[in-house]
Amino acid sequence: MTLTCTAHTDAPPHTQRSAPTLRRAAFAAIAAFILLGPAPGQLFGAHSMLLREWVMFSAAGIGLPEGRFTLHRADGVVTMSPLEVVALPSYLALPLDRRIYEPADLKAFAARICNDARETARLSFEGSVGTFAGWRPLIAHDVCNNPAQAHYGDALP
Amino acid sequence: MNLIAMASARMADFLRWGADAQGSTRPLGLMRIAIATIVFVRFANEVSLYQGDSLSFVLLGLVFFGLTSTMLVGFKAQASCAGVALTLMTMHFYMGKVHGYPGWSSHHIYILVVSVSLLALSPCGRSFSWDRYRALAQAQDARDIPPEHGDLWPQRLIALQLAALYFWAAVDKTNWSFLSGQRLEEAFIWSFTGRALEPLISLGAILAVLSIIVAVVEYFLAFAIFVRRWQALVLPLGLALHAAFYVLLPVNTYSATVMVLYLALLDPDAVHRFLDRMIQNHGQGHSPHHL
Repeated sequence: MTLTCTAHTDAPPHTQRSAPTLRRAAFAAIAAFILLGPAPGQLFGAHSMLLREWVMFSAAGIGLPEGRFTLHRADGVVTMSPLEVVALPSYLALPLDRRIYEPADLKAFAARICNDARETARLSFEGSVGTFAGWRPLIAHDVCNNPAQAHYGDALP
Repeated sequence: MNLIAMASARMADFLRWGADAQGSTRPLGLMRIAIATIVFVRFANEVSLYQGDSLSFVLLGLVFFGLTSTMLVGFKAQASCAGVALTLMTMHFYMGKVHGYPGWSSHHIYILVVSVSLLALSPCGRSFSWDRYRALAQAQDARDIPPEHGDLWPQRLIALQLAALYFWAAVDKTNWSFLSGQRLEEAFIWSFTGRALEPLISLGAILAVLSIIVAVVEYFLAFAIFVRRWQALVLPLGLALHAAFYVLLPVNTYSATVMVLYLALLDPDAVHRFLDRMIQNHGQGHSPHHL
């Protein structure tokens, strides 16, 4: 059996077309917007709501800690992972306003423990936090009662 | 030839390729159906009428479901796409960016806004649509049958959008924090901490290698998607990249949308002939009752 294929596309001679000059102008303008629109924000930091920047997932892990929290109780120390401190199954469930954008934000991250009136032990943290520039060491001696002294490990307290 | 003459010759070539493009409208018809489905899947739960906490939100839901349905079936296809585009712009810019509605300002919504807006400028209702079905039913003779052929400049703009997306995403990755694997590790910590695949976070140097591969592939795709003779290699590479994003990161509808937009990269007349062949093979070789 010979299979034939009709390779036409119903292309008619009378296909209506928009005016070439207008079409070309619209095409060039939209193409420039698509191709160059991200440049001001991504190259020069001039961000605009109307010019989309293609920076997917660049902030996905910003403000998330890696390391250990330690509760210094009278009967011994208890170490906890950051997820145990927030009592969530995954960071995907952590609201953005609980992330650590500044060292002092550790208190908001550990709010479950800091706001628990029954927990009087000092809570410290040693580890790193995700930033746009990569990981930064982060140290806090007393997360709940003296959040202002929390500092990056590569900076003076 | 001086520089200005060369630049103007290149510009003329570019406009001939883009603004003057014509061909089969079948890829546009397929994109219209697939993108309408993705929009529906992405938002249907969030704008369903039972979610409405105000009359305006209920109205948004009614408009959304009405317009996405007509876009899907291709009833007044271009007008329907324009309506969906305006609805998505309202949701993305006004509700998402201005009022901070969670998730609605994300890049995966923006790529849907762009796709539907460009489809609205294209003859996307000439194939696989209720519009075509009605026109065929009403045609008195062959000359009345609307052609599956038209201006494809919006389809070329979709292809340029894909290139821009790859190029600027690669630019964003061209720095030490990404290429050293730290940003990928941060993203994996966000996605995998506390999950079964948590060991992925500890891949160390492999994360740096993966990061470099992703950045190189994105720069490559930004240009290579336009080289027809490379497409047999380039398009599967791009599809594999998006498949990996889809299963490794919470990208929502982003990967699916970009995969559908790859239709804009194919030769539209080749797609047309392929579909003809598929339909003819079916018609000649099998009775539908035997399937």
